[in-house]
Amino acid sequence: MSGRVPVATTWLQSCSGCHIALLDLHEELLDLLGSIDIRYSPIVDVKEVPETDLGIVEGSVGNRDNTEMLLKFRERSKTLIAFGTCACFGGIPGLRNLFTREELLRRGYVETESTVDGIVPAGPELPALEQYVKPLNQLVPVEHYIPGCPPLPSTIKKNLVALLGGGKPEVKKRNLCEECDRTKKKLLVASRDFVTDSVVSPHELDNIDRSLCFLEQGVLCMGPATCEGCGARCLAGNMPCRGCMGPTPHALEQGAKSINALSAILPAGGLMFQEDVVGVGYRYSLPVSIYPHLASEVEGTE
Amino acid sequence: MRTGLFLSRDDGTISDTVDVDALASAYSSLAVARVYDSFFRYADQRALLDTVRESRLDAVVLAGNSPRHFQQALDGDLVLNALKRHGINENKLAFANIKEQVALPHQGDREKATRKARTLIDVALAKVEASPAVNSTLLAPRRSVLIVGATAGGLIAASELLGKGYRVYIVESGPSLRLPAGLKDDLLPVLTGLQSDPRARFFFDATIADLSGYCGQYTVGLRSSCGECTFAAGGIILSVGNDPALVKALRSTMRLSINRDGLPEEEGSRIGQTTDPGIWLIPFAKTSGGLEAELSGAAAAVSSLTTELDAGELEHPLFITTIEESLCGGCGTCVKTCAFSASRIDLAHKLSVVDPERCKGCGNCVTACPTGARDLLSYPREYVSRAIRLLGQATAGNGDPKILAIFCRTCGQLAVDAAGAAAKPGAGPAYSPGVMPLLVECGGSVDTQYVLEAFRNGFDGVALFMCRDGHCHNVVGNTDLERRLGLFRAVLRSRNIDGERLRVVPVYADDGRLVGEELNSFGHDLTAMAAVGTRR
Repeated sequence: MSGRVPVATTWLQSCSGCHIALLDLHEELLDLLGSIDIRYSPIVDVKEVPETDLGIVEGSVGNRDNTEMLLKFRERSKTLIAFGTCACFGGIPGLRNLFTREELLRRGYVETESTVDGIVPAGPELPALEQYVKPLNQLVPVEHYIPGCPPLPSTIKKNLVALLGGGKPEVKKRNLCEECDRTKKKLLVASRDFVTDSVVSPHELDNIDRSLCFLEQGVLCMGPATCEGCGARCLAGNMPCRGCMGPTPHALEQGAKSINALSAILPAGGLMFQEDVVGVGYRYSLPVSIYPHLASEVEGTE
Repeated sequence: MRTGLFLSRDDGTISDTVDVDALASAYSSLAVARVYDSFFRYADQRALLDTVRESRLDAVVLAGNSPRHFQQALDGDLVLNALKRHGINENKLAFANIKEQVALPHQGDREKATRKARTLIDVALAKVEASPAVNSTLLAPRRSVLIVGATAGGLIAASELLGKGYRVYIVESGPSLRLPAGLKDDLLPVLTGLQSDPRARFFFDATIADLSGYCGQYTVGLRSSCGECTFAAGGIILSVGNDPALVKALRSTMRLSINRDGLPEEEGSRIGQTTDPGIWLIPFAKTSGGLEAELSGAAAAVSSLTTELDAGELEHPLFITTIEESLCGGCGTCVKTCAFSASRIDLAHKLSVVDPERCKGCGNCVTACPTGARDLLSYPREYVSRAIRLLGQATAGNGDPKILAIFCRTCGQLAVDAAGAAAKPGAGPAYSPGVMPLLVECGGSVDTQYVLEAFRNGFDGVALFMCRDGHCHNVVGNTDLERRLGLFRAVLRSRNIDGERLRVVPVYADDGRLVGEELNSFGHDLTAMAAVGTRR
């Protein structure tokens, strides 16, 4: 076993997509397994978390079980990696921070349209929900972050290889426009006019220009307020950015920053935006917002 | 950094309400903390400057009069210049306005006023700490002057400038000279002199299409009946008469304060001064009184401008926006938001570039930049966030709602100062001590992040005092604020905070009473609102 670095992975509150992305390395995973030894993981049948060099944690912290697992990982890993956007920024599960636990459980188990005579399950065997969803670093120190929903398999590999070699993986800091190949025209002209007259969804366009910036076609794109690192795959696939890579490191407020920026570019800051500010601006990063949850008299603050 | 704190009793005006001596001893950990009777009397000023030198200070906080007093009154201007000569960088000098924003509005409540003054001093100390020293550029002033308006004042100024050896360009928006009938004959010799001098050139039907540079070296792009041309001018004299439309056009190229009639207003400590150095005004009000008034207005403007330009070398502090290139992806947002065409994208490197000759340091792009790559030298983002935290932690109120009053450097600040100055002794506070003041550059500087930070730090409401429509110095600061306003409120609502907890009040500089009334009614409305966090 000598020479192979012991590794443990887990998923907390998440969809398991980041682990699937790891498996998406396909044959390349075999190369990686030459230098790592996965001793604990959802894909390994081991009950107790062992001491390892690398602890890789997917998902945000949403219930007591998540919290305990994270603390265990922190204690037993020399280096802890926040794996994926949920672990880094709270991710989509973080949107529940705008509801109280009671509202959430009632909606999920009682009020959903398909539910008849629903009851909120309870019992000592069920982990209690934490008041708010948090990314890992709001509970424990984290040495390294691999954002993405999910992260690119190639990015996962590049990061792990760098860490295994004792190096520091490259930290991306610019916005997605850096990696996007679409051309900008009106955005480069010093004029106070908006770049379009109206804001539309991609499906409302007769023809999406594959080479022109989405904003200039009136489509709300989160690229300017989103960190680079994904290679702008969605844009290459002719869809606007949804912001899954999270905010850039100097603007830990994707929603506020998109408001600031898009108000100067699109009419009414993007009409859809106004209808669902949180769903658009904070889809992946509400728990790292300056105001990361509901202002609540009922449950108090943290 | 060695920081000195100087407090002023303002001959009792401040010390009657604020315990300045107690405050000085509270800051004993600073290099120096001293109290003076006044910042403006010679003996006190001497002692202050000696302290700056002897204690080898490199940052200074003046707790006393409004920063506007230092910019607008001659005695204040003298203090600023003396501090600069004593090696204090302009950006390492901050003000805590404990007169107009503490002592005057909160007369009779010594304990709370003193506590609030302490918070404002903490904020000013945070400012000198977080602000980098500003660099200056040295330039040789050009000996030519642009005169806007072929009016009586303009012609007289031109003639005097010729006499002092300057070249003049007289630019008139109309097709001919603009002389009142009664003055035509009196001005004939002046006119003949100008027409016969090759160093004077007239342009009619002319508009200033472009203006860049700064005092000593302006570049003017002109469109006129004789086509388009570009020329260099050391300075500019405005004699625009009663022509609000012309003033409006000029305001997209230079920063001018305007009055309610849309005519330019003087700013600063000297006759005819405007916001930008090297641009002087022959005020209309002073020239509508016949030839005598025209002569004196023109003479004042010429004398002030030539004092600046006759220097062999001029120093221009570059209060511009900075760009952290490692964060910039070249998205172009800064290009769209700038009213002065000071931003462009270098496509080869996908980087934003700022033109120091056009940037007015208004900070619109800092707010708009989605990556945080841009920052303002005068009010860095780190400072504003810290200021909001400090103000939020302060507990100076009487259990009244805590209001963060954010105001712009121009109309907003003047009106908030006026609200304090209007307070009558014995009539109770002008507004609650729970109101915490925060000065920012412009309405366009109000970042969604600041609004969220305010509520996160315990404020019950945020009031924004900005210039009225069409009065923003930076032309578009208010437009940008308005474009964002609906979204600010939507973001607050999403957190269960009533959108009405954010109030925007457009003000004129002399709207002191309005500010007081608005703050009180806002406080009242906040008390009546359902508590923060109540589901709607």
